[in-house]
Amino acid sequence: MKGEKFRIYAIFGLLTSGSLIWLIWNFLLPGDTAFICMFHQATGLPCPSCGTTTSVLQILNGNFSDAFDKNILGFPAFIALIILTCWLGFDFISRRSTFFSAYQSSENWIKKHPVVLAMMLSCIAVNWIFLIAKHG
Amino acid sequence: MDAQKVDMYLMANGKFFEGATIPMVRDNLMKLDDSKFIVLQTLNLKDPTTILIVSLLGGSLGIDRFMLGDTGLGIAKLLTCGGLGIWAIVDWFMVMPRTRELNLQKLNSLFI
Repeated sequence: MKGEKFRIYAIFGLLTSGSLIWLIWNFLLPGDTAFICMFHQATGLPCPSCGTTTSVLQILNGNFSDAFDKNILGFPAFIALIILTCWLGFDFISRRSTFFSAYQSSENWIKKHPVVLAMMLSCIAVNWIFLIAKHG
Repeated sequence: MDAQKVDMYLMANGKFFEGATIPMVRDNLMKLDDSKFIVLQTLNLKDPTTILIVSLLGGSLGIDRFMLGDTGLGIAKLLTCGGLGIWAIVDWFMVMPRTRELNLQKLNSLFI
């Protein structure tokens, strides 16, 4: 259990800090971000999360319609990034594991209700089809 | 269970577990009641090689994590395009030990 907790905190900590660094890098030095996507490089098609960086940058600039147009996943990604940064920071400072408990209970809940997961994945798939139709 | 049955099981399913854990698995299986043999046979263990192939092909979409039952990490991997590709590459090396670890956890659930 202790190893599992460390694994989850390490993965989400690295993911959050990596996303923040990537976002700040692109905010200060705007450029083409498509080169980073392995899926895009391999197939020539956008992946489900292609355009999320640009979308989040548009949200930061206040251009919500452009952000919506680029990739709608930018909105949940932006909210998730803020929540994760605050939550992981709180757990790190207070030496508690509230995030891990919430993560485990929500994962178990999703496993018990596969319809919710199927709906989430369907939404992502529909968004992906739109992305391919727009930029593919 | 008798030694012959356990050894046969390990010969057929040894690849699903970490090499270092095989002696421990063998000891535990020897202590297991004969009535649980059918449950042991029907245990749905994941093949590490299959998961590796899935990780190589669909790793940046998080399909490997979904297959392993790590739903939360699967969603995170899908929404970050495999952690900008870095997580997807790291998982090419981590996914086989993780599969074996989960197989061992599944087997250990029989002994509780």
